[in-house]
Amino acid sequence: MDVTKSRVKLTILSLTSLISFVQNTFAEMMEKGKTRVTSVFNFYHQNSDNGGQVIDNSGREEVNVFEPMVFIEHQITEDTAITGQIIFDTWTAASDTKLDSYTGASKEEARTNQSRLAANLGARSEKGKWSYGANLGFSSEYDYSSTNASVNIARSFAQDNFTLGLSLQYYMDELSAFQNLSDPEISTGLQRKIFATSLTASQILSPTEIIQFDATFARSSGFLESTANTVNVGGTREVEQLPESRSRYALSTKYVRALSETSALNMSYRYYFDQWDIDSHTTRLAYLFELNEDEDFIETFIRHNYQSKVRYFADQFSAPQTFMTSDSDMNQFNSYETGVYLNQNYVDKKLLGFELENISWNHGVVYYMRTNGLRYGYYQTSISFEF
Amino acid sequence: MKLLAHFLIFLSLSSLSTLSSCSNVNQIDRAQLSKKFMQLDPHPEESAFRNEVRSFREAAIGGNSAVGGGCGCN
Repeated sequence: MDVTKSRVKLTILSLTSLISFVQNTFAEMMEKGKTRVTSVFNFYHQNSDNGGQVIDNSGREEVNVFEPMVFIEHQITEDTAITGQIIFDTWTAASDTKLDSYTGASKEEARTNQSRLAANLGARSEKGKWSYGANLGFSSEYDYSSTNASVNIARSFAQDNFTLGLSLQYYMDELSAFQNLSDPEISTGLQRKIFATSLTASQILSPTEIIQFDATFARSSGFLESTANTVNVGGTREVEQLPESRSRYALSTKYVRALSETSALNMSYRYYFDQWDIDSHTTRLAYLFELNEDEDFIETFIRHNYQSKVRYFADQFSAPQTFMTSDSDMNQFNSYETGVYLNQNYVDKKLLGFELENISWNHGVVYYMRTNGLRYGYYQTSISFEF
Repeated sequence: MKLLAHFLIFLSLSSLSTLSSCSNVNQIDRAQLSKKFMQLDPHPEESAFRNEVRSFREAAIGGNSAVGGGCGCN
């Protein structure tokens, strides 16, 4: 059995090591000295009364998030650019408030009204048919911090009709959590590590069609429980217990086909499975159409996801188990998502002495609902320009 | 697991055979493919948030760079 498992792992790793087209790896380079800035503002609201993990049995999973993001890219030579990203988010979550109340957290220890700062710095370069990229990042919030790195490499073949890419990501995360609710002393310095690799191939099929295949493998290890998650064991709340490792596999494909000179379909499918017995099928269909010669366009999409439940999931437990979770995200459910995006492009403008070029302004609204009660919606607006 | 291994081999072989049978499209014929609405991800910056949310609200990851790390997003 172990031999079979090793072979399967070897097969998957070999596939992963052979075949990930990182779409943006071959993103168009700007002129030397140019800088591109994109700011995205995200307003997110989520709610549910069915979260079995919430400590006061209310099931309330309300979360409100405001997350501005800034992406900067500066072209230092004709074939090399440096990139940066800054994310700041602030949120309120009902589960955090309940946990504060349950544990009697002081004002300094309270989780209510938290914020997170994340940033990364990287570079990407193109040399002939090869493209390389690397990023270093960090993230910090009250009970979680992360240091992470990623590298990617891609090569184009057949007059750039076929592209093969490989990306690697590594996260060294540290979190704080309660490990015993009867004596709510927070444990700090709990380690979580994530290694992920993805192999992608893309092929231009015709002047109006392109297809992409992706294989992803990720392995998480260390403390994998969520900070605020608890379970109901015979009427008493205890902390969630999960294994110290999780191997995850995904295979996906995406296909874009023009319907006319001004409209297209963008379709994707993903199959995912993991060591904790989750099986998931995700399909997405988007219809995009151009509005004018400035390439303004609208995208509308629908998405469906089915997942089975994690082996350790139950709404409640009659006796303590080695591993147990009631996290609604780990339950079996179908989810449905729909949204619409508008992309608008503007002619060059002068602002505060800067000649801004390639200006675009996007708006998007998304609504999501799950058959186990959770629903969320968000609005995104972004502005992007070069100077 | 055996079934899975077969599935992966079948998928990779069928993908490679599909891709290898394609004829090349010249640069000059790629005007339609270079349009913004024809990109595999026409909103890459917005997708960063979108994929992050999904990676925490659903058990699955893959097909993008969000792998559930870097955030305590319960």
